[in-house]
Amino acid sequence: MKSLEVQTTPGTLPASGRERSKSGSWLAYLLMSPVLIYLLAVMAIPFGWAVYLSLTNKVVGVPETFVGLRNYAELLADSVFWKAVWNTLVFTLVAVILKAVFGMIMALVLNENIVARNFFRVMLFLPWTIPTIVSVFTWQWIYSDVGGVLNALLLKTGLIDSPVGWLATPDLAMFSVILVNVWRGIPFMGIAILAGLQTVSKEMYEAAMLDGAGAIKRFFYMTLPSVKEVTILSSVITTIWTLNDFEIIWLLTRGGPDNGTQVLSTLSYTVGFLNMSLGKAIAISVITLPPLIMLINYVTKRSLASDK
Amino acid sequence: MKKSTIRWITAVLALILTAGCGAGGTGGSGSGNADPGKETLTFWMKKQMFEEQNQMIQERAQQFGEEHNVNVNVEFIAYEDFYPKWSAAIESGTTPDVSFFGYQEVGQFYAKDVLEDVTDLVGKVEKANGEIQDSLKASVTFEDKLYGVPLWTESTALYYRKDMLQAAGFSEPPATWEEFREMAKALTDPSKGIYGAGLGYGKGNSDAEWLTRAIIWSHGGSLDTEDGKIVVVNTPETLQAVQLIRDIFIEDKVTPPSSIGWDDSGNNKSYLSGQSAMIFNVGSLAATIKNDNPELYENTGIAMLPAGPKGAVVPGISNNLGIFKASKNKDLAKSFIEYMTDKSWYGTWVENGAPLTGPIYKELAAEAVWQEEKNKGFVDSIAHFAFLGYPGVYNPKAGEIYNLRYVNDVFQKMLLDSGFTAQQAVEELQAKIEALYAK
Repeated sequence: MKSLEVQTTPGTLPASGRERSKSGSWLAYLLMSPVLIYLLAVMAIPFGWAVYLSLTNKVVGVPETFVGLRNYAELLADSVFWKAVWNTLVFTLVAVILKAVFGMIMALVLNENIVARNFFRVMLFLPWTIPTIVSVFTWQWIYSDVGGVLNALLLKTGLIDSPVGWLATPDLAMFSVILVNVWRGIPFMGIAILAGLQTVSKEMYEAAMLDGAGAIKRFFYMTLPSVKEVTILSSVITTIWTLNDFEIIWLLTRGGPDNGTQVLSTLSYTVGFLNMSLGKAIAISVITLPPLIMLINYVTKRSLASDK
Repeated sequence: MKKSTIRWITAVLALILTAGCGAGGTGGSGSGNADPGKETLTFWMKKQMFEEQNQMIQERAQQFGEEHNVNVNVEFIAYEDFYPKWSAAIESGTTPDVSFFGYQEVGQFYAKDVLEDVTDLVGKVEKANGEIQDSLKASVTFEDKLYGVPLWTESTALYYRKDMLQAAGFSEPPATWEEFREMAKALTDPSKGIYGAGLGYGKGNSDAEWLTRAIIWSHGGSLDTEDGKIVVVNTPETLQAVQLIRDIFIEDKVTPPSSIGWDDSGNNKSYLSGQSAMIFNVGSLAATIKNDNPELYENTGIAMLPAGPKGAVVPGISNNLGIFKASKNKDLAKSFIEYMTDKSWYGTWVENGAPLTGPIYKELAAEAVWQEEKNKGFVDSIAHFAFLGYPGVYNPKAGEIYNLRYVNDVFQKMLLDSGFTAQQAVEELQAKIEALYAK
């Protein structure tokens, strides 16, 4: 049977193919249109409106007036805003690094054939499942200088001679809120890395051991490269969540003392809902968008790349 | 579709999802069983500490609905959740018909022109039930018109542990702020974890805002204006009061170590645990220990706030009901407020909240329950009430100064930074408040 040969230039389609492709893409757009309309209605329009409001002097109950970039200029000249930017960076960076390190340790331990492994897996995953409000109130009690367990332990062991006000000075308060965030975030990192570890072949480790590779060498040359992708991805996702964290700080310190734990999310809430300056509050949120968009784009890019 | 397009859509969608950083809900409750054929009145009420009072409000509202053949939807909301709800409701045009308002919010919303003038309604309520305390009406009066109907009052009082004072050689609570300072020094023993002055300055702490004003006002100082225009914060009187507070914390060290991080519950916990010998609080604490710890209740003395060189000045707290201009049922809303302030029912409701919820009617303040040893200090305080804006009359800017927590922020700075003097604190407050008045 004679085969039908169609000559085409690389990268182009014959006319009938182009038509099929054209009608196919129209069909694709048609099928996607409900989702696109939905996205436009719930996201693009409110987002555009929010950007517009950030360029106005909008306060609750009063019609807005366009003020251009005044909100942004005022924010850039405000020392509290810069303090919040700095605090956001410190809070996010320190918390993410600690969560990645301890998450890795947790995953490595839970990947070993230890006694009651499933029990420990459940226990270590618990902090992530407890509602934030419950865990924050528990931590408030832990930090309290009146019957708080942390002070009691430190006093008993003689490490301190009088109770410490964990939320009473800016540095200690920052340390305390980071600790709670890390405590809550470790399980996500741990489980994500553990899932990655489970895909690493046991035979590879056995072969490496036969070749005389020690535990440290196995970790750096086999384990780490195997879970690099999942660690990076989960770290970026955690970074996005940490940048947006509001509840832990709000419930523990409300951004104090002396704005020592004031981050952009708490500042935006304070300015918007307590001071009722919606225009300025939205401007704060808009300023935080570029790094978030970059991070999310990075995550989706890597996720889709790994699907190829 | 191109992968890059999908990527961007995913990115923006995820952004929307991750941007939702709001706190939890309000825990409100509706009356249910709404008949779609009837008019509906929506009422936002502050969730009271005593469940019995909430229950009474719910039943009373239902009764009103039955008598007037309407649905009444009552939502109980925690105070801290009101601002986001009001803001969203005003912006979306979905305000309730009747809402609770602290007097500072009445001022704030009056300035935004979203509240209904209720002068006639207050007149009707008084005609039917007797005179309402003048100070309470004054706090919601702007340009000779009332924009809220007082519903109950709260007072701040001094709580002290009788046994600790006796052990330190004191038979009476402090009558002046200087005496308070001296007694706090005598009561403090860090080796036993006991501190004389349970004062807290955590960020957003409203107790601290009120107490600081009480001390400043009783020294003749101010955090506002006399005439609504010229800010009179930077005065020797304000400085004297600020210096006193600074000395109590930094020189005397008679406050618990964590008190600069306390929220509003900090002083309660400190007093209940025996850490602080003297604290300042509204009646909620008395009600709690009466039920939960009768022994401590017996050992607790309650007195009016100490006086300064200009006498005792107590920051008044007036809680009101108001009607939004956007309400579609204004007449029904007015009838509802009349119904809720009817003395025959109201007297029992307010008594169930004693000593936290004080009565608005002068006549009810003379009732036996308010003359009891531990309740008297609260109603006696009403005569010494001063409101935001003091020594001038209350105005919306004064409410904004309170809501912005300028006092709290500046005092935290002063108490954490030993190089930041009382004079600098007063100057910073003057500058911040001037800038606000200039807007």
